[in-house]
Order: sequence, then structure tokens, then C-alpha cells
Amino acid sequence: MLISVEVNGEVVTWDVDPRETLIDAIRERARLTGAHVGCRSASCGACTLSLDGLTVKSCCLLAAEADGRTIRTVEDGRTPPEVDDIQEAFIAAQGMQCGYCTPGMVMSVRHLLAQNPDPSDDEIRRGLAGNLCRCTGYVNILKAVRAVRDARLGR
Amino acid sequence: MPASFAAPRTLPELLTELDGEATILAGGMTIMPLLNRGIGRAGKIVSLSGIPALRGIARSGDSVRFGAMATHSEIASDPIVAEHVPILATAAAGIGDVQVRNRGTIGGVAAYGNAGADYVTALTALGARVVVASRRGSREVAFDRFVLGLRRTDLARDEVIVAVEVPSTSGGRTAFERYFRVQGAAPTITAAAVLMPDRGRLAVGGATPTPVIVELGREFDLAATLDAVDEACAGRPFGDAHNPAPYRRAMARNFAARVLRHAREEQPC
Ligand SMILES: Cc1cc2nc3c(=O)[nH]c(=O)nc-3n(C[C@H](O)[C@H](O)[C@H](O)COP(=O)(O)OP(=O)(O)OC[C@H]3O[C@@H](n4cnc5c(N)ncnc54)[C@H](O)[C@@H]3O)c2cc1C
Ligand code: FES
Ligand code: FES
Repeated sequence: MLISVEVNGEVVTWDVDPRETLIDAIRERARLTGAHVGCRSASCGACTLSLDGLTVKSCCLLAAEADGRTIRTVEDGRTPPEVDDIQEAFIAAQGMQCGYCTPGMVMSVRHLLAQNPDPSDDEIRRGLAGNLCRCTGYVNILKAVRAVRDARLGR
Repeated sequence: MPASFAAPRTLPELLTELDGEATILAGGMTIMPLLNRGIGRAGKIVSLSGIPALRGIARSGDSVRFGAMATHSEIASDPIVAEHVPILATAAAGIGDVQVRNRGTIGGVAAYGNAGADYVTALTALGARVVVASRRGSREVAFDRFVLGLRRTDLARDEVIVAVEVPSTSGGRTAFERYFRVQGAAPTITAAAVLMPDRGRLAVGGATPTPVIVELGREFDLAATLDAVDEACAGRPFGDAHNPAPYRRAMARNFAARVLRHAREEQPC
């Protein structure tokens, strides 16, 4: 079936299978491979994208459901190795080891800080609760988010 | 049979799609993980996402009407909910994580009827009603009669939940508690107390297939109420490998006590 979606500002039309998930369409049709597939069960958050301004786990969303909607991915407007301040902070604070969870984490941090520019540690933890990291123990991820928060607030 | 996907725009269009073979897709936070694992019927999927009539939260007389597709995120942050049924806002805010709350819906939780699910317990205590429709017509069911057993609800294969109606608790005292062991997993125990001037109800979910209900008078004896919860849990045990039935039963009593104390101490939620 034909669907039309706006991905990172560009409108594309895809002929998707009714059972195709959004993460598969994004990775295989749009060739945007930043978002990863971990569990396909809405648990790990590696596949986190933004749909009409809200973060979603795109392994548990059919591509067909995104018809007519707006998607943002971790790449959004940047060509690697170009990164934003959040990605920069993850690098500086070593907020990643294997990096598998990182694109999903970055999406959640972008939304968290857009909604709440000055989150407490507790609010950061709750904002990232849908993104599992099996490497870092989260300590450096928290450091990275605090660093972006403080830099953006000029602290 | 080739797979099909339909996203009707109106309720009448939806009802014609619901032929008894269709699988309804709401937020997908329960059913998509199952379909991804090859569990369940995926031949004909009918999405509720494109139907404006199923969205929204509004006052309706002395009740608040939740469109079936109202998401956990919307319920957690809605001013009408905060004013009229604050324990539902508390329940919504505790579900899963941000991404799950952005997609998961009240209709999906009600239809799935999972033991201990936050809304299942809260809606039971609140005396909610479910509005169900099909090509054959529509009907309203009291929520405590809608959930029949473990993940078993009074919903025929051609029926859809259109809305959930919840009586306002303003002027009363309410409290909600959830107990979970692992972040991201379903709660072990949920408890809700609703104390109104003319009625009162305690519901405890997670230790039995459907919530334990204790009706409460204007004055009630805490110890006797807890004994009633305990007895009900002993009669219909429910448990799993992580949280066996005797453990859930013990926690049910503890959280019933907490929620009743909170409601009596007039804490806002
Ligand atoms: C990581 C994670 C954590 C979670 N944590 C919690 C938690 O802490 N507490 C909790 O209560 N839940 C939790 N959930 C479940 C979550 O609340 C789901 O959103 C909910 O159970 C199902 O709602 P849905 O809209 O996603 O429904 P779907 O998954 O789309 O549908 C669920 C079932 O209901 C049917 N259905 C859906 N809507 C209707 C309707 N309107 N009429 C008739 N049938 C319908 C579907 O056909 C399907 O069988 C969690 C889920 C995940 C993935
Ligand atoms: S791959 Fe989507 S949540 Fe894990
Ligand atoms: S860095 Fe390996 S999972 Fe997070």
C-alpha cells in the first residue's frame, strides 16, 4: 500500500507491506540506519523516533500508521559525522560504550530538553526510562544530559 | 490470505470493517510485540488511529468521558482529569515509560484487561462504564462487569470500545498506589480507593485475575477491610514466576492499607 510521510523535512512516498514496521521502513527504505532494532517488543527504546513531535518506539508501529505524518530521526538535518550538542556531550562524557542504545537515547534527550530545559536528575531518569543501556550503567549518560542542560542554560 | 490494513476515518466506516475477523490496533503497545513474535491474528488489521471521534477527553454531565484512543500521556497531563479524576492522572503517569505513554491508550488497556494493570484497578474503584459499539448497535457496561477474568473481557470479536466514562470524584477523597519490582515491567500490585460522601470503594489488582473489590461505608474498619482483601486473594490466587501468588497476596494487603490511609488522610491523590 502507498503511504506518504515526511522524514526529516522531506516528503517521501513508499509502497509498504501492511505488516511492515516503521523502523524497517526507516532503515531499509529511507536508509536512515541511526535508529536500531533491539527487541521488537517496545522494551529497549533503541528504535526511538519522533512521530508528530512525540517519541515512539518504531518497532511497534506499523509503517502504514505513519501515513501523512511527520517523522524525525537522529540524523535529522545532519550528515555524519556532523553532530548536535547532545551527541557531542555523549562523546565528551563517554555516555556510550557499544553505542547501540545511543541514537534512541539522543532522541529521548532531545524531547526531554525541548519540553523541560532544566530537568532534575530524577526528571532525566524518568525521561530516559524507555531507553535501556546495557553497557554504561547510565551514570555517564546522566552526566552528558546534565552537561547539555547546563551549557544551554549558560551555567 | 494476504495481509490487509485499514485505517477508517469515521465510526460508521470502522464498524463496517469490524467483521469478526479484524484485529483492532490501538496504541500497539501490547499487541505489536505479540504480532512481532508471530502471536495472534494479523491477517486483517484495523487501526483506530485515524478516527477523530475516538479521541479526546471531555466533561459529560457528572462524568469525564475518555475517547478510547486517549493516550496515557494525554490522560496524565489533562486539566479536566487532574480536577475530576486525579487518580487516573496518577495511574497514567506511572505506566511504562514516555514512549509507551505516547502511544498506549485507555481503550487498549480496558480491552486487554490485564491483571493489575493500572487503569483496570483504578477504573474498577471509580465505578467507570465502558461504551462499546458494533454494527449490531451500541451498549454500555459497568467496568467491574466488563473485565471477566485474566485478560478476558466482555467484548465480542466485532465490537470496539468507543469510550470510557468515569464519574467525577470531586468532593470526595481518592488515592492510588502502584507497586512494581522492575521499571518497565507491569506492576505487581495496584490499589485504588475512592471515598465519596455517599459511597466508597476499594479495588486491589494484581493478586487475583480481576481486581478485588470491597465496598466501603461512610465509616469503615481498616482491619476488617484488609481481612476482606486477604480472604478474596486467598480464594482466587494469581501469580507468576517473579511474583508468586502468596507474595502478591501479602503485598495486596499492604498496598490496600496504604491506599486507604492516604485516602483518609485527605492527601490529594
Ligand atoms: C514497556 C512497556 C511497559 C508497560 N507498562 C505498563 C504498566 O506499567 N502498566 C500498565 O497498565 N500497562 C503497561 N503497559 C501496557 C500499555 O499500557 C499498553 O498501552 C496497553 O496495555 C494497551 O494499550 P494499547 O492502546 O497499546 O493497545 P493495543 O496494543 O493496540 O491493543 C491491545 C488489545 O486490545 C484490543 N483493543 C485496543 N483498543 C481497543 C478498542 N478501542 N476496542 C476494542 N479492542 C481494542 C486490541 O485488539 C488488542 O487485543 C506497558 C507496555 C510496554 C510495552
Ligand atoms: S527495538 Fe523497539 S523498543 Fe526495542
Ligand atoms: S552503550 Fe551499549 S547499550 Fe548503551
